Amino acid sequence: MKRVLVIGGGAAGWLAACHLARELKSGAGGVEVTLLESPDIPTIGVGEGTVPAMRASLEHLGIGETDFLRECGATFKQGIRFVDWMRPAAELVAHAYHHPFDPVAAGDPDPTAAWLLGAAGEGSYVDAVSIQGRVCDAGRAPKLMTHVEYDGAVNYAYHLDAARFAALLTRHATGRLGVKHLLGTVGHVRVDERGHVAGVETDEFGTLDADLYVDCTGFSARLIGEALGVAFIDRSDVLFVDKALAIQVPWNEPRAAIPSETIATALAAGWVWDIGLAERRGTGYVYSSRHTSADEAERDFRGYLRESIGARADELPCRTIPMRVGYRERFWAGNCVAIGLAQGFVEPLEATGLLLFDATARLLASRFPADARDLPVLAERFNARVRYAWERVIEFIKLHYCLTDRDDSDFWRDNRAAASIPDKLAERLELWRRMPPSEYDFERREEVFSLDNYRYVLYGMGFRTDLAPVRRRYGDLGRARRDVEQRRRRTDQALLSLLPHREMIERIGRHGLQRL
Amino acid sequence: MNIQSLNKETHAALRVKPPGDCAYLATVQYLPLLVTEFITACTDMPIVFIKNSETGQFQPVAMFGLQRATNAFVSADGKWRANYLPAVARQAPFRLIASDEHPDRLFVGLDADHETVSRTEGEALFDDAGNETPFLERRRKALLEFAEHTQLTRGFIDLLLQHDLLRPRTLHYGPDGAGAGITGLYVVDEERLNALPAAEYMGLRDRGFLAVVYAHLVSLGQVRRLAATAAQRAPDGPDSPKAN
Repeated sequence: MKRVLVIGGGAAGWLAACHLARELKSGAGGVEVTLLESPDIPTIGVGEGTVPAMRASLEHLGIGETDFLRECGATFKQGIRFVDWMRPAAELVAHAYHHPFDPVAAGDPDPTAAWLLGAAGEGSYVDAVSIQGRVCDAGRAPKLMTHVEYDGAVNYAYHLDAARFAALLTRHATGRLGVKHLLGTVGHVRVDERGHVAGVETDEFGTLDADLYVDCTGFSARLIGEALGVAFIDRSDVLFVDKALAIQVPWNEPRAAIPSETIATALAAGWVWDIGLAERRGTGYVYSSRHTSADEAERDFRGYLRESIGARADELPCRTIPMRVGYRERFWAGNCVAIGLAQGFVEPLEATGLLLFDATARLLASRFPADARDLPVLAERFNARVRYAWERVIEFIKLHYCLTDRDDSDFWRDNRAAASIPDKLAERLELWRRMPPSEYDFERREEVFSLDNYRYVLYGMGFRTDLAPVRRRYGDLGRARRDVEQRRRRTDQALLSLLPHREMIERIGRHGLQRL
Repeated sequence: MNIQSLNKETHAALRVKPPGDCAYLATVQYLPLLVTEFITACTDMPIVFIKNSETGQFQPVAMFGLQRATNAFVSADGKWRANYLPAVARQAPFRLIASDEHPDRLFVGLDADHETVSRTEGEALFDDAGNETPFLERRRKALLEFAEHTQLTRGFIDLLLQHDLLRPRTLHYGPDGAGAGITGLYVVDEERLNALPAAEYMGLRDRGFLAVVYAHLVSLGQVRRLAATAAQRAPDGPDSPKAN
């Protein structure tokens, strides 16, 4: 296996090329990695949120954090704030909860159990088990100027400008990692009698062939779908949203505070993402076309924006992006591997897009076949793992919907219908009514979202785990309240030293972060 | 503090007397040090690198105490007990300031509230004709030199980082270099220094930084002097904080 051809120049394509080139030493006599990008196909480029794994990946690829932040107009993301996913907490008080990246605190007594049993005071779950909810409420950055690159006071990821991110990856891949970059239009894809890709015809370079093809052509899935005919498994039976509207919103003033989390606000037939970058906001409304019309959706979306920018909300250009929720039956077929939207798609509620692109690109790079004879066995394992990851991701997204008590539209009522809830999720939820989730419920490495993610969402949305009958298992809870008090004081301390988010981004722009 | 741009109209009648004592430094654990001061300072006190909390940038400092807000070199009666006092502490009441109108130019500023500023005692700043006195001229030169050496120091740090020579180090001050230690400090890694390619090593020498690096390395032993002073004071020494 000497040559890989990556087809598609979006963030997924360049991430795949970077991971492959880094792992396979493309520039230094290893496997030759070439990326073919069509000059006239625009990238989707709305994946503006990431999760902490992206931090590890950037560091792994040898990209400096300062360079990354400066060149991608990036900001720090410490989690997601969900607004209106439940009925209002009181009249005129919206329901809101945090899903932060910091781990849930452990201890004796267990803070989660103590909170569930009412022994940790009256506060929210997030404040009982983490300092990060308040760090986000205060609009603070997750690190200090004295922290080394990629290190912080609390866990974090980024918001980024996807187009600038793809450009940074392009420079890094071609300049540092030895990836060959071709600008050419993909024509016919040749398939041999075994169902392997035998070459990609281009106007500019004739037929390009390779030992392995990576399909990063987005929704069109030129290789895995069109040429190889791998079926798409539609999951709109579980997740209803199928359309996105996207609007780039300027800041009201140049020094406006930047939230350090994605704000996900539920509307009548979907939800709005609102992401603060250094130079603008990226917003979008993902909705179910079965539950609202295009006109109504745009009106609701602009209504949301009017709350922050007034009448200007009606003038900003709006882009419509069709989406198809689901994933391929296989992600690796013969000598072709799909990464990115060609592999599958779910709404960007938990920033799963870049997350899965990155994770599967890394998996492919680290289990790259040495010899064509190994293709079938590696493909089988890859398919099992990635399928498992997609199924769990869909369940985790569904969790946000099926726990709701909203009753104001069919969209929310339909989302609670038992038939729309996957069996495995229903089984877990039933179990967790009588015992809290445990790490033993999440045993596989492919669990993209795990124990803490579930706990923050379950208890942020008021899910009831009744521990009263088994209270004695949790021993003396007398100290729990003191632990919460201690955490509150620690948070107060942290807030004294952490800078407002925008100021931190500006200082990094001026001074840069240290590498040691 | 009341920093004013120095000029002969407003400040014609002002005089500056020698500083009274160093009591104000009693709670100062570190002061920034210029690269040109390393060789003199290293015989008195440890020189280490720390990160500026505002900018995250590395800066060399002279270290005076093992604990926060302590200074082993200020005696109970406010006297400075080391041979060397860093230049930054000798600038007052003057300092260079940038003006809003000319951000690229530096002006001499004066802290009119400083204890050394007087109308009756000390050295005059301007003579009767309104010209700068030799005293003020000397102080102005010292300020400019300080600014120049600050640039030089920045260049030195950049070079250390470029050659990846700094390492975080906990400075232990127990009897055998063990025991309690101070964290958040960075020092030059001698192994890395010795492993530098010849051209880079000679580059350090040619810019006069080799002696500076060794002054820093030698100075690290002075941490024991700080420990000895601290031990003398605690637990029942006359300077012990518990004594009041």
